[in-house]
Amino acid sequence: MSTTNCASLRHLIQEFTMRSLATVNIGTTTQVVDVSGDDNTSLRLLEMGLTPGVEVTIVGAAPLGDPVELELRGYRLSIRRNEAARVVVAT
Amino acid sequence: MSSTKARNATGQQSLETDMKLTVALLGNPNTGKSTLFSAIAGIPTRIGNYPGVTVEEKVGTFLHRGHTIELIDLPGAYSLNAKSPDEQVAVDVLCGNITSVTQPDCIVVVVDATNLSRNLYLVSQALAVGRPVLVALTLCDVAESKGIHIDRKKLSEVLGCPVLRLVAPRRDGIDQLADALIESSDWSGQVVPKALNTYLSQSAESDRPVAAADAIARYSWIDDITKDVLSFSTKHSRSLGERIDAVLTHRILGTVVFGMTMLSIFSSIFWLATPLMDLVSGGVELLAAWAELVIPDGILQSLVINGIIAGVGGVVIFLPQIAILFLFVAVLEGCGYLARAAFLMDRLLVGVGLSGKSFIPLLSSFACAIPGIMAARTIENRRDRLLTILVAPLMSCSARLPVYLLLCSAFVPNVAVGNTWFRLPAVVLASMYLIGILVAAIVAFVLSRTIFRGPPQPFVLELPSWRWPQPAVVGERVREAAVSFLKNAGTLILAVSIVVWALGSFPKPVIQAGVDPVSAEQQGEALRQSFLGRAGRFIEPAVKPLGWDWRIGCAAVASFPAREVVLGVLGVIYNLGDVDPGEEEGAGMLIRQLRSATWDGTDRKVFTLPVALSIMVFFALCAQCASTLVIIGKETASWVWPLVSFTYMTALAWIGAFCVFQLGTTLGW
Repeated sequence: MSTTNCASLRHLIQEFTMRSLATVNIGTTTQVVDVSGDDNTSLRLLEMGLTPGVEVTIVGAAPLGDPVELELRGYRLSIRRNEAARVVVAT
Repeated sequence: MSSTKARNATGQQSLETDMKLTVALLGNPNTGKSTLFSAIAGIPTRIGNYPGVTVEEKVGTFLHRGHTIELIDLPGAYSLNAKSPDEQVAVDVLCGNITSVTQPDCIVVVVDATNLSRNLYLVSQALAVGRPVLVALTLCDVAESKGIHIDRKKLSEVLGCPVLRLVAPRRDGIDQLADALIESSDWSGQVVPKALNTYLSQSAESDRPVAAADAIARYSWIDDITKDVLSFSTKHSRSLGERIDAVLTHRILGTVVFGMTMLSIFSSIFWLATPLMDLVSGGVELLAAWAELVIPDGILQSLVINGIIAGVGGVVIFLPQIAILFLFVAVLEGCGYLARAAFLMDRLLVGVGLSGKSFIPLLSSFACAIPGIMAARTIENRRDRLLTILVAPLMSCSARLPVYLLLCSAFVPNVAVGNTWFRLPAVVLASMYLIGILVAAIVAFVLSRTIFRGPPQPFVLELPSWRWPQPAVVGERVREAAVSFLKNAGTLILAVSIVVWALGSFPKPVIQAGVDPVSAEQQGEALRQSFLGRAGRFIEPAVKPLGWDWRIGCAAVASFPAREVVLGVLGVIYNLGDVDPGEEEGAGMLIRQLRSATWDGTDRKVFTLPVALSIMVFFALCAQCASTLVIIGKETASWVWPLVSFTYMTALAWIGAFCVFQLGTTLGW
């Protein structure tokens, strides 16, 4: 198989078997596997340190459940749930 | 570098061999960059906007060991891969793309020691610019208290540039930094570390988009570095900062604390400002009295007192509110709470097309839209910022309150609502505020789906660690805001006041024989025959559907400089003379006069309940505030948006007043 087929297959498997930061419970610490999406938002998430392999903890959420507060690389970051949904994490 | 004569602190001219060095101060937001800037360069020598954008330019100059150093405080940036106007400006300045700004000779990257990992991302990009780079490690004391240790020597080796330790508030390390800046001119140029280059070239083979692969490669390099350089001592029980956070972002407690904080800010802007405002207004009155003594009676006296002093004085009176608001905003921003407030309110505001960062500007607009609009500078997202600025004037400001109070007490029957404890005048008053909020929500919602429709902007927001706000930085922000407000008052608002005065004073009526020229009747006649009065008659057909007679229309037009003027004008036009509706007798007289006012040539009363309501709704939604429009123009660097604001708000005000009047008359209120 060519590399492109491998890549899309990998993404497909990820979507079905792995969780995202939007679905993880508050208080859990987990590892980032990947950040999906090609646009500025996904790039911003990567640039803020949500890169594959990094440890991230979901510290809390705002009263209405959105946005969520994360702790990673020694600092606190808040992102909206639809942004958190792009961050695939390990089960 | 350029050769230039320079003067040192005592004013003596130094030697011709002095060199001027231009240094860029780059760094993430919340790293204490402003504190560092103040510590090294003091008060900025140049403040304004970069050409063509509403991004603030801040430059300072200082002398060190005979050298003149120009320090450019670049806007906070997380990455040089620009995604916002702020970051774009930072890139443009570093590359020398802005002709009015000298390309920096050397770059200082301010790095927050408490989160080295993310801060090194920007350093990795700065190393590629080609100019000498210096890393200034700040917040070292906070890091040490958290048990974070950084091996500076090793870090410096790995990065290939000096790493200096700074504690800016205590001025630790400032001199060493300045020394290092001067020495940097001897370096040949910055090289990108080999290890980083290896990762970057490997990333080219990845199947990801280029930018993403680049970001991941950089962090791989950073992770290698931090393994060697960063170490943690045993963590004690949760630090104070973490415990504070646990409360402040708690679903219930956090919201309670938030509510109380916002309430106290809001009340302070009203109550704390009042004695100061009285002081200012007292001063203005003294000035008017002095002018009356010194300038002989006539047109000049009228121009100075009723045009210039009244117009500009009426605006300058808001200076205490602005200063207090900016004080709070600067303190909240400095300690880190501003980000948390945006975090808490975001979901609510996203629902109407705004974002969490709009909350404080909108809240402050309840006191006065001017500081609220200026506070919108904290919103980096251009679209959100513009939208916030456009709906901020719909928050019922303190200038509308006298209008509401007078009309409510005069024309709303003081009965209880149904079987409840609430009284009708209070309910109507509250409704006026709610109407503003509701209309603002609708306008924001509609605009965000139509004209301002665009790709969703990321909300990705850093919640900075808790720290003490730096007095120097807070003071600077308040000073900046006050100065820019006064500059606007002294220019455009002055111009508008003079124009309105002229329209209200000319042409002069023919003075009938035997009539006292300054009697109330004569003043009323003078106003009616002036251009302003004629304008009122001219627009009478347009305001009849609102239930207004031409005199109310004239008052509405005349209140363009400032809303609260409408009551005074009503007084004059109904032949009351110069009544002060703020004082009890004045208000009492005005109410009596209004109650007995009839349509020209008939016995039909002008002021009925529906008319009073329509006037209130009109003022709730209208843009009769020249100062606000001027500030909108300045903050958006364009005359289009003030025009748009005025047009849409006047239209909404008319429609609202029309609906209320027609509905009220039909229902027989």
